[in-house]
Amino acid sequence: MTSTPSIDLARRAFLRRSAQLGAVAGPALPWALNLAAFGEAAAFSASDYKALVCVFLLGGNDHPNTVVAYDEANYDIYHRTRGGGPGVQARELAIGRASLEATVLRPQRPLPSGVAFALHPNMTGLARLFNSGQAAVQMNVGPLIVPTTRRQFADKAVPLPPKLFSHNDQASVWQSSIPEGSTAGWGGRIGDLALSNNGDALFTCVSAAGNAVFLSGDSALQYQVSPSGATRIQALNEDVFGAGNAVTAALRTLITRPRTDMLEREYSRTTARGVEAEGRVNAALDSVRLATTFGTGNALAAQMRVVARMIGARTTLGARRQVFFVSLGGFDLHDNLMLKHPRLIGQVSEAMTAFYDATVELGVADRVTAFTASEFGRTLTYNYGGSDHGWGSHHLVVGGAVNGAAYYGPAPALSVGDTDAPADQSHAGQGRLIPTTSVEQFAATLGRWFGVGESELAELLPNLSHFGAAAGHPDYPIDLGFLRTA
Amino acid sequence: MLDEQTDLSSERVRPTHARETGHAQTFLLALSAAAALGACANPEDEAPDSSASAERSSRKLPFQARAAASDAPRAVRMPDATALMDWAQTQYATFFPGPQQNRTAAPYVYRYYPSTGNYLGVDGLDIYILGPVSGGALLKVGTLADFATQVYPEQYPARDIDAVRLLHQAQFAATDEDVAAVRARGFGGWLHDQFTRAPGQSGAEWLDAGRFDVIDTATRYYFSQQIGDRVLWAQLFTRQDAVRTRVAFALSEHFVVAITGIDSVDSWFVNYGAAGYWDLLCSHAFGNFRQLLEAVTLSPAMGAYLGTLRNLKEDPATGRVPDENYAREVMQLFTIGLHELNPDGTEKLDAAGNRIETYDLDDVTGLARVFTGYDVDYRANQPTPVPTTISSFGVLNDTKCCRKPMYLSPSRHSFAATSFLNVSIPADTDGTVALKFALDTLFAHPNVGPFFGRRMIQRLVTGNPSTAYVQRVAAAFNDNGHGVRGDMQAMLTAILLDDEARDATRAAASGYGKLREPVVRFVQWAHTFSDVATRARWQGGNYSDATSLSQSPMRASSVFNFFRPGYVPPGTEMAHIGATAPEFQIVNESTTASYINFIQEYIQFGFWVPATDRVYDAAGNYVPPTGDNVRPTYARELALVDDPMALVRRLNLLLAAGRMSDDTVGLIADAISAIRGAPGDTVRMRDRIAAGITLVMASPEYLVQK
Repeated sequence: MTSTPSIDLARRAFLRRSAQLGAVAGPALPWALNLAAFGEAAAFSASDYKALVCVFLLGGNDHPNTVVAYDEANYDIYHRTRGGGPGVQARELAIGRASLEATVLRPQRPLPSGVAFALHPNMTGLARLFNSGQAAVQMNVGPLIVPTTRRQFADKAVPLPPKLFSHNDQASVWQSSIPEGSTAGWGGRIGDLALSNNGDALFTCVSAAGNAVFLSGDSALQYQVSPSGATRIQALNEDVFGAGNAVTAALRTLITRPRTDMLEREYSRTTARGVEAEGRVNAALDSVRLATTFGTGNALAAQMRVVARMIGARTTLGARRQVFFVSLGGFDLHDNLMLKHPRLIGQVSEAMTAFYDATVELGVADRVTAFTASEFGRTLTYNYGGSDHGWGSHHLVVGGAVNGAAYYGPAPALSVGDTDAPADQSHAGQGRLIPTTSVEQFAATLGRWFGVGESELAELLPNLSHFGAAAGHPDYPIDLGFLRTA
Repeated sequence: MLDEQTDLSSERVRPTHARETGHAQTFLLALSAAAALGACANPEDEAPDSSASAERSSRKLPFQARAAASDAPRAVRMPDATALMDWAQTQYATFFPGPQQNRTAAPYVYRYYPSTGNYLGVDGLDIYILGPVSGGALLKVGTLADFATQVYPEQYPARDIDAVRLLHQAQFAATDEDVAAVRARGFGGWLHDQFTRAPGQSGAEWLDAGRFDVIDTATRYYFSQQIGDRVLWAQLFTRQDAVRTRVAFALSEHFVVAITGIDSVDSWFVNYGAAGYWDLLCSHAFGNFRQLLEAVTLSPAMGAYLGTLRNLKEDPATGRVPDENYAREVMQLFTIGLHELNPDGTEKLDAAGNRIETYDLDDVTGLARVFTGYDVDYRANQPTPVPTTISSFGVLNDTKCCRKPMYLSPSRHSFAATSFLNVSIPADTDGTVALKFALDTLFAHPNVGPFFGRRMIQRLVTGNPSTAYVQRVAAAFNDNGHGVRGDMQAMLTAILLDDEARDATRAAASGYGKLREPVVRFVQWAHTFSDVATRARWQGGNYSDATSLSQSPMRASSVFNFFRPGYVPPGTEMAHIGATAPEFQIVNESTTASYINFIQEYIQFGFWVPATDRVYDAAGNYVPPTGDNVRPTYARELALVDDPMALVRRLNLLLAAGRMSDDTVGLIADAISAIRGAPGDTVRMRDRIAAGITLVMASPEYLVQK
């Protein structure tokens, strides 16, 4: 998929139409109410199917114990810095080297100087997908306004992302380039472009993990499903009070009719949307039978399973372009990291591996790309039992369209030193990585694969123009290359 | 003048009824009626207010100006002589045509009206008239307290729904008795009564009373998070000091600790740990923010949740550094926030128009050193030996150490010199001194008032308050009127009695108010329709899942609570105008449906209560015991069940503060009329009530509190 003039024309037509409707309806009436009117707008001329799945790790994933230094020299730095002292045994925050053998990553082109990594020992599934070419690692990605060096960070010589190191704000910045209070994310803005491609615009942006700004666009709304599908209101569908249909009819009226008060109106709009869609979604999901198992006791896997089922129901639901959001909480491990992180990161691997297998089963493996995200990475240093808030982090991209078995972006030097030595330039103190790839480059790469045109990318990613060869930064490419844009 | 009327100072006061003549009769009848009303509304413990004139300058904050330090803040606004006589001049200009100035002749403050020949005077609390108006005799017409409702009508609810509005903001529910109390005592008087009300049974006391301290491998209470849910719901359902409980719940969403985050510390009773944290929020809810902050900081539950517990000093040899979690969140979330604020809560801008950060990475690292060296206070611990199959530690620690303030272990504390927020702590400073200094520094930051005040307004009254409202609340936080900063009663009074909270007309505007929180809705239902004995039997669980209630006490998924104060719901009109609406963060197609399913079940059937507590078989599998449904009482509603309109009108008043239109009330009444049963069929009649409540509580007019 590449940008073509016709697509951008369609985009312009779409925007024009949106503006007209906005003018007619007035600001009080959100555009989304009138999505059906956008029938003639088309941002994507393609008739095939594609989906992006954002797997958000809430709390700030400990990247040093996710993509773990494995070659002897770097492992030694890792081991000492994480409180293990000399040696290779598990201690403090350091994972024992021997336990990493089964999850060593074997890229098609080894890194220079023998630099090697392994995934966490519990990430066997994703290590397998990496080594077989369906998964890649994007090194050291995080929010940036412009390319930033350690010196520039210390001197505040360049604009920096707002509210660094703050959970809620960086989660919002990752998803939308703007801190808490933001109302549109890049997943939703990509969804805006796809609305008219889908038979039912409501299923363009779907969350299985609660409200996330990532999925909200200017027009696109996020639609919420629970792990078991759309939630059905019992008293609306059964005569629970023995009133004939009197109570069910009254309930339907009360909860779906338009209201004049702003807060009431938005609440009833949401309720009404859910009531209206529930029957269709559940009927469509009922027809999808997945043989792939997703494990038990894994909340993320349960979410990814319903996403797979939604993808399985794509034709019934009229979806050609979809963006999904799932998440797993509990990663803010200032303490008990070695007790809790292995289980969490193992669940991520289990869920994403099962999800990939399900896309194979559904015949859409190369049409679906899943990627991890998290508000920040963590410190390389350790405190008593855990690590602290960081900035850049390593992330995984999984799917049949991924140029797998490869690392993207330079592997950062492991360091906590505060000198001018080259090795110490990778971090902002305590090993907090200064990103060498911006989230917006990451988003642009995913967006281009999805079918977003170049000019459209610039519209939905406000800082993208600060990166890439055209901006004088060939080391910060607009397309990172981890997806095949055939 | 007064010398012409020397008898004014005598005790010759005649009975009122002996002197009712002519125009005076009209006046006196009015005064008598007012006095009668006032007399029942104002118990005699309301002392005269010697500094009442000072109060006049701060109408918005009635008891800010109370001078005597020994006096508790008093929320009943009493007119002083000047206010009373000003009022009389406007209401009874025929007799007392103003303006006239105050004159004094001990013990009176009085005014003389030459054109009518009347005197109006006040002696302490007592009000006298003299002249043609009283037939020429000195006449006592009542006390200042008797006239409070007339001089300051805005202090008293004009209608039941005005009382209900306050009750919904200040506590969970409005019962008939609550409504009567607010009408009788006025807004401020009622609030004052709640501040002075004795605290109810604490969470830890509830656990003790239920013998949840018993170590028994059949019940396994010690590690049971479910017992933590039960004690917290029991507190919400049954505590009679409902304002304190409501405020504590709001605080639990600011100083967030989650049960799941404190379950892996040693071998302690997680439920007592949770209850102990909840109890400290209750204890300090009407105290001072500074003490609250210290109690929160030293709580082992918060210590476990945000890492102060066992936070170790730096170790240059290994590169170990202190845990920065609490240092960061105590600034970002609990006290000062990320950016410098104006007194009205808006962000300050520098000369270049940029926001000004309150702290940077170095401040976090510096402050983190202060929070090192803390551990559970085991000095008086009485551990119980247990098999290692129960606890790998081989013991269970007692139920007290998880609620005592943490213990400072000097050998683990960092004595390095440190600095943060433009202050420094020298090397080798005693750890306790350093902590006090750090908390004093945070507490003194000018951001705290507007930062914390705005959040508490959002929890209790409205999601997007005006900047002027925030500023008034912050002012009360900064100074309660006698130079005390952080007085929670002063701040809560400022929040609840502010015009922006009380003005029903203003509240009716589109966008005002807040979405009621799911927990508050559920507790409201419990308080409104069931007696305490019934509520006490209910066993609440963890309802935080999106397929359940989406919220449960101390069950937030992180320190960022169920929703953020800065949340602006995307794709809505709120987003268009940039209005915060925090509770909408847990509103979506799933949760709106789950909520209706949840309440319908409980409204109709009550709680299924097991005959005994949970038990396990030998293999450790949960064996559900048999039990029964404990249904809500609905006593007063049963009396109205044959009159659906009256029933729904009552629900509208008590649940929705009268916000439902006549059309909506009629719609619901018609619907539930279809539920019919033979005379005396209480099951069917209860279904009629349950259907009515379900329909009300599902309606947007109810869900939005204004």
